[in-house]
Amino acid sequence: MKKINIKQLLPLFFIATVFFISRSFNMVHIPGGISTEELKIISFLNIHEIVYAYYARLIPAFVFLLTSYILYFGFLTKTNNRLLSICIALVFILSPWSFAISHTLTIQMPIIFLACLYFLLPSPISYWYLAIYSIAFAAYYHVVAYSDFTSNIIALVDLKNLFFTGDYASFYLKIPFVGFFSFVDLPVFIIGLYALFTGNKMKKLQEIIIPFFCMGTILVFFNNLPNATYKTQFFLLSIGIVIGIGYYVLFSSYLINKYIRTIILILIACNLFYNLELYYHHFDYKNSTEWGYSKIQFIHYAKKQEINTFYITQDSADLLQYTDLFLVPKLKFIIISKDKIPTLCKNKYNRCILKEHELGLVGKSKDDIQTVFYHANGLPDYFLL
Amino acid sequence: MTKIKTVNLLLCTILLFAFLIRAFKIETIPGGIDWDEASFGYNAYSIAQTGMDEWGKFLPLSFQAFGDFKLPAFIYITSFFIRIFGLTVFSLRIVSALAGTLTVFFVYSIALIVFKDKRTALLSALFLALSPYGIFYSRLGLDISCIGMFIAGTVLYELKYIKDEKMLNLSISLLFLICCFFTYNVGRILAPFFLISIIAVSLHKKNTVHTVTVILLMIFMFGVGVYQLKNSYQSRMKYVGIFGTDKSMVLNINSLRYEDHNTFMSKLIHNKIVLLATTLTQKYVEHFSSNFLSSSNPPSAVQVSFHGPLFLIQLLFYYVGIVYLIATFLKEKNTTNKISFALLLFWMIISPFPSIITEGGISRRYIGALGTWEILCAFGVSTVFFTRKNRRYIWNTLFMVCALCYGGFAFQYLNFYFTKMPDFAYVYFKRQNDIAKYTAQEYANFDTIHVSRQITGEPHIFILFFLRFSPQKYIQTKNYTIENDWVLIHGFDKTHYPYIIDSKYLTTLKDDKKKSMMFLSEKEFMNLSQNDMNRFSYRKFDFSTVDNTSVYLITNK
Repeated sequence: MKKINIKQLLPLFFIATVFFISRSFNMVHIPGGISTEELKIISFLNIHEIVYAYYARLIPAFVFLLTSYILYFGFLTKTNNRLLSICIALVFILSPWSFAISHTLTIQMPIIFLACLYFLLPSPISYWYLAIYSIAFAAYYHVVAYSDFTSNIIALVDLKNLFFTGDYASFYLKIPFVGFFSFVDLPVFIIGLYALFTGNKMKKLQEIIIPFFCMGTILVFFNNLPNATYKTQFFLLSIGIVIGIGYYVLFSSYLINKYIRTIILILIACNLFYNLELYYHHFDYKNSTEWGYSKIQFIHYAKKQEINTFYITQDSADLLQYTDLFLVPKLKFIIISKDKIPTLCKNKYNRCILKEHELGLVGKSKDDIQTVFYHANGLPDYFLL
Repeated sequence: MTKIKTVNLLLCTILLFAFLIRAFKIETIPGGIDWDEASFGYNAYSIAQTGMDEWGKFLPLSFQAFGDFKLPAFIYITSFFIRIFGLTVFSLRIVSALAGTLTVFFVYSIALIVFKDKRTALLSALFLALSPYGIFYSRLGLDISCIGMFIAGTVLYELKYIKDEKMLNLSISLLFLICCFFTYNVGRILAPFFLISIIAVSLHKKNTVHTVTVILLMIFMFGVGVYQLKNSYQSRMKYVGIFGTDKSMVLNINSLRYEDHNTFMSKLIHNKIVLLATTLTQKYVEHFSSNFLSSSNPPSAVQVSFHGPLFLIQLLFYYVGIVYLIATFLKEKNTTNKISFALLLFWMIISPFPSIITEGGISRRYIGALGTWEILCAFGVSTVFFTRKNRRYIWNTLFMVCALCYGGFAFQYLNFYFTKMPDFAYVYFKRQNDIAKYTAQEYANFDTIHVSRQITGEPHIFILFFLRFSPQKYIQTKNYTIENDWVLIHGFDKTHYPYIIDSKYLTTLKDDKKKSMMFLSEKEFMNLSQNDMNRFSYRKFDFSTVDNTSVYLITNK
């Protein structure tokens, strides 16, 4: 039996350490609410407790770590270059787009994981795998029905979008004020691109990356939302790999002495800290209405109550998606039409859930209501009478 | 010999073509003049007639106009043409067309000096001749139209000075630089950087006289800059700059700190330095981003190009041009050539500065880069197609395909400009132009003329322009107030510009013997009483399909 060399395991520990440090602030509780997309998966997993629902987010986190290992091993096998493989894996872990996605319980992480298997597979099989997987991907997202190539091409290669604006098509998956990649990655990307096409011994890397990049680009061409993170993973992964190559060139170049390396590392650390602060402290505020914060508040409230029947207006009926899953055996919800609001909700023995614009029907203003369920930014969502 | 003649012939054809595109139907497309064009034109007319501006100042260095203190170079140049052709839209805009054409020649010469390749130079000239930015700004009677020419002139003669060290070339370069400084705000931001580059070159040449001359000029420009800062520049920057308490950057900081409950750590992370660095970098990168370089939108505002500076097909060559220019600069052994490449790179690097320190992505602030886009594209094309020793069939075919695509894009742009642009005349104040033209036509037939400010902000300037009103008489008869540094003209001679024309205003015109003509908005007209209607005869003057409103013209019976 082959003896395991501890030196070979060190990169894995290093990648895992970076992963845990970047998540040390909060592993599963940001975003603070649960989206409707997540609800479907939670329902599929048959989870009925909110606490467990949050912990289900450990699954994408685990897949995320596994994907970074796949990238590491894939490039290590094909290039036999440890530093390069580490750089690529770390860029993936720390890129704002993948970081944000890995915090949500969606189908995205498995899709990226499966896409990254391309790098692990030996070359003839990998091309076939990529082709088949791309077709499946395109079919899943119905991305083959769009023809405005020009605007997509422009949006695709736009440096401002990649490094500053980020995903404005599905901004609820985006770290505020940050692009798909960190600011400091921009010059590194240019270095990586230059090295990839002009550097020595880059032919092997070109053979690996170019098909993946082309496939990602083709998929974006046929995409009606070229900026949506969940439709551009292939493309973003390719850019991330080029950035990884850029970091590799920077750290392995004889032109760069240890002082410059230290400065680069400090810059990366500062930028990383900035991104993490924005994610952990501001993501919920900027995406207040997207993640069902008020609904989770209501679930917590309702569980403590002894009342078992709530009247809910049609405009507030989206709350039922959450109550059906987390409060099924305990409480009963009756949807009422607009004309019945005054009669049912004026009765002080009934419990009614209303939106702000419906309060006038029962002769109340929002200041009269004591029990209010708020969005993450402090704006009221539901009122309980 | 034959080859030289062919090149010259091609260059002349390109220049002629550039001029024709810029001058064709220049009076009618764009379909009107905006108030800045009218103000430039009238001030130039005033200078041509009296040597004074509209405020009676003799040969001023800064024209007060509406209180926005316009820079003088464009007005003085235009005054010569207005002196010859009279005050018309043509005489105002032809200056821009000529400046645009001259820029094409300058860009050709710059590319020829830097790359020493006639094909690259001709391509640069062709790209500029058909450049969406170049064409768009060369057809507006504005100061912006000349700034590209002055910047290109500065660079060209600096390059010549690098080659031959002649005082004449240095002087011409400095002359263009001074023109930059006195033409447009973009020039005022870029001029000091070019001056620094000239100082660096003269220091490198170890020529004390030249260095002292340039430094003296720098001191002069610094003095003028400080003087002007007190007047217009400061207030202008307060209005358009990214610095200030009510700017989006500061509002973002406040919002982030609020969300962090104003902790010390939050102040450490979310402060002006961090956000300024990211904002400036973002705006700088935007200048090189594909979305900015080649996206197009329907015309939405005067002075804002509806098309990016490059056609889509040029994008790739532009990026290739940048990469290979850097690579060529690094590899170059000859010092003079290296400095030439460095100057071109320097121009490319500094050109986004005026736009990054201001809010809003307004295309005219990118105008400093006009010339660099085209030269870099041409260099990219040369690198890809012309430098291969064994030119294969496939590369020739690819070149032909690209050339055809470029032709298609250019044709599409020109077709849009000359056939669809007239539909967007409302953007170019066509309504205000029509009111002013009608007023000029009927001026002698009425005793008083009233134009409501509900229709337009500064109606007087259009009437002054189309009436070719005597500058001396205007200075004597105008009635105005100044509010927040902005001059409000309430009337001159027999014209009046009230904030609103309503029943109350009409009752003040008791002297019915005076023959009056009034232009008012649809809303004002609808609010008039039946009594008012009986006193006046009225008709619809025009109808705008954009906002579905009309302007009404009423006269006494």
